[in-house]
Amino acid sequence: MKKYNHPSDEFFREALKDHRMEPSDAARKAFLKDVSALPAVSKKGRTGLIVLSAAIALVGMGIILWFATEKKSSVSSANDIKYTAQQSVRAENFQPKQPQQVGVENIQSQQPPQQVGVENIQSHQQPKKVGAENIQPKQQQQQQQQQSVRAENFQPQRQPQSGMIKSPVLTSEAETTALTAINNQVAIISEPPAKSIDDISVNPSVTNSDTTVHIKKPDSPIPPVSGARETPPPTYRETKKMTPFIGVYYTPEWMFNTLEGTKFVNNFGLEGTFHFGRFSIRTGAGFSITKGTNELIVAYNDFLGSYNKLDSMKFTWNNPAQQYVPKLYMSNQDVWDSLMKVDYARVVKRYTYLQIPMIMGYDFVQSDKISVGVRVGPVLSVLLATKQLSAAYDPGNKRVVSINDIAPEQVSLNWQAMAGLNTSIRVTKALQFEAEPSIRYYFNSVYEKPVPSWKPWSISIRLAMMLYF
Amino acid sequence: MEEALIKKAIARDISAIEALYDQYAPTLLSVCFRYCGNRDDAEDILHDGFIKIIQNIHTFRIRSGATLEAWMRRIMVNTALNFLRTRSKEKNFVDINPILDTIDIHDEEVSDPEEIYLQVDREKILELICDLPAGYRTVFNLYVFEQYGHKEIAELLGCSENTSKSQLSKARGLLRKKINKLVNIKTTPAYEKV
Repeated sequence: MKKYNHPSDEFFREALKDHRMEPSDAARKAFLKDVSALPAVSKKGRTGLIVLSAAIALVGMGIILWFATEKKSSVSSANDIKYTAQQSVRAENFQPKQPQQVGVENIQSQQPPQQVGVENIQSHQQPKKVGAENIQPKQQQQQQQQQSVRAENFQPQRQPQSGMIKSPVLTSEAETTALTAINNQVAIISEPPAKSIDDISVNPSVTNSDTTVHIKKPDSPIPPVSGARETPPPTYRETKKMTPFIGVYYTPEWMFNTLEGTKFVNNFGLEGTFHFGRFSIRTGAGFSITKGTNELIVAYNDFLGSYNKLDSMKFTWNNPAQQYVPKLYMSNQDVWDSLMKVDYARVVKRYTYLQIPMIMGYDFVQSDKISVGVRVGPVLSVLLATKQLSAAYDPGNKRVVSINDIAPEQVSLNWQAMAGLNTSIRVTKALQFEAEPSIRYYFNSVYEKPVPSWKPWSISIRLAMMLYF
Repeated sequence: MEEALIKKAIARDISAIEALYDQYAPTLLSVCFRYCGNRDDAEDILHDGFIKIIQNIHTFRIRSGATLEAWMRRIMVNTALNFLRTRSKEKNFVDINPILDTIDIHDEEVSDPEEIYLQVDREKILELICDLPAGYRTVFNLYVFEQYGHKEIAELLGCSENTSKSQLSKARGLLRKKINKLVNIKTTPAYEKV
């Protein structure tokens, strides 16, 4: 609606349009003195922000470096027997101490290496069997000195050729190829990812000793391990199309730019997060509890007292006394001062909101142990309950003329935009902790009678414990 | 030029701050004076407001379309309103004058303002505005000079729209009465002699 302008308004505006008043010298000097003594508040704030950002960046870098170091060490430990023992590739019938049980098909000494399939290689301190059939016993003794099983030249989707043994039994996790070294019942397995054991071929130059079976290149005494580990295994989340988490969170929040100064808000509740690779979406339901002060200015007339007002009287004739007896009809009347006074009242209330977040996320660092990413999205707050914590304003006998809300009650519905930096640390496969410093902007004032300039913003840190299910 | 001054003021260059003060303080002092009605308070408000301006000048967006003067003026008006609010709390004072409530608000619509108002000089107009009761004066200033609507005024002052309308109407009526009186006094020689 267009603002109505009274004819006189324009006159007043024009009359005082360029009106100027020179400030006194004292005022000028006082201002310049104060302004020169001003600490660089905004600079300080900026410096604080820079320091905070730098700290977050440093922590982030530290986490990334730590993670990278961990990763390297885990890669190097690929040589470790323990690591290989954890692989789910099993070699069936792999018994180096029993040469007669090591079956290699059509292996003849001095023949060029052929490929032999390994069946269900079983490492981890248990007697291993190499499923190679038809090894001729005479040749076995010659091969004991350089017993090697070649685990390279895996040919996915290739059918076993002659001289090869197809693995009859496979586990679903058998994605690895192996460099298996059995030193006194130990197998070293090297593994290119995403290869089926069906396709594993073993060089026929298999030798067997009493204690060790090596799977290696024919021309290399040491099997190539690092090359086979060039592609790291997929992370926990990357292997899943969708990883759902559910958990609890607590978020202390400090809200600024409100009529009451800085407000502290407690947020807690249940949340569910769904990860799609590096992307995630988070929602749930929680409570947001804050205290608010409803400030009132009450104009009133003071109570002075009361008197009995004579409404009417009636005379009745008393015959014995021969006189009229008056009967008075009275009513009590209160009296208030005509002078207006003012009371300042403060009523403290507790507001409980239901919070429904819809947060989108992207993890720029993601691993089995830790992930770091950004979270952005809207949050809806709906007022559930208001509880009065202090006594309500009681005017008593005073006559209230008007009540003005200085700090009105809080709104029943509010939208916020949130942006934060999320760090998740996986403690176990099923449990992870999250810390998420964030900033929120409130689209509306939190007060019922919003003042245009009072749109709050807040900083908060979300602490969550999430369970994978 | 102004942009350079702002940048220097952000860097707390005292000469730039001084230049800004010299350039804008007279206009802003006039604004403050209209709200509080006396020079001492106006200078206090100007002082506090200008400190806020310097503290927050880095938030002023040069290319946002708003002029620096309008931005400063808004801060000064807010400072003045806060000042009045604080003072009303301290003095336990509410600006409701029962006597003024009896003013017939319709009398302002009777006469044509053009001719009468032109006879009054602007210093006198400012004086008349400053003589208004604080509540009337605040609403009048916000509506006429800051050009806020009643809804915004109600939000700023924490009162109802009807209160704002009523206060504005009464302020206009009172001003009209005073101006009429002033003009009549000036144009009536017999009265002057008395």
